[in-house]
Amino acid sequence: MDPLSASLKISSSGLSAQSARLRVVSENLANARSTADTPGADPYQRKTISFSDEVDRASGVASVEIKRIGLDKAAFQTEYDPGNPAADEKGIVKYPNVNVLVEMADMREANRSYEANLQSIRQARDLISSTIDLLRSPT
Amino acid sequence: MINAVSSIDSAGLAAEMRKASAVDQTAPAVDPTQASASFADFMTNMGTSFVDNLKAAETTSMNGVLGKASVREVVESVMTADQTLQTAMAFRDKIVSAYLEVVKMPI
Repeated sequence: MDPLSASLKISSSGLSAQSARLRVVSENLANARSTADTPGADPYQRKTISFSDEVDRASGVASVEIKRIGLDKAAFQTEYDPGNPAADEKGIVKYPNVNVLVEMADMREANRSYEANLQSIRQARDLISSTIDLLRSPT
Repeated sequence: MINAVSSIDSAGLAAEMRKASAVDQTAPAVDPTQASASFADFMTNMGTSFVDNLKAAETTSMNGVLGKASVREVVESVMTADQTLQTAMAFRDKIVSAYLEVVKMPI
């Protein structure tokens, strides 16, 4: 496979990986204060995402793919709020183990990686175009 | 004498032609499957591959409008079609200009 086209393909897989990561961050942020519906039950558990390299046997190109979307096993935050419908008999409410600051940092990193992949695509495309333009050189 | 000159000339020309055809035969050896393909076949292949790419791009775009394909996929397929078209156009322009050059050759 043409290396430049291959890098287009790889960067494209990077784009989809980073957008999936951004999706997970959005889920975590949106559910940062989601409690359980029944008293004492577990609230929303923070999601994590991991990636792995995937080698395409036909072209020998290693692109990135989502390995798995797992759950963060960290302890839940607890607050004393007896009036909350999700509070247990002691008046403790469990809130998700989502740290908004961590999520924001993760979001920024996903954003930067997405931009890096876009830049890589732009570069490969420009190189292909300028190679084709060699044919058009004024005689 | 004119005959002698023209015979030399034609002999030289024939030799050149043979050389050119020899080059022609060795050049496509890079791609043995298309060794016998003519220029017209080549352009036809290019045209069909462009049409295929364009069709794929249109299908993906429609899926994108319908929300079935992601923006990334749409951009990717449209970019591929655009690239094929650019290559084909550049190639055609080059061939046409070469042809014109031959036509304009002072005789």
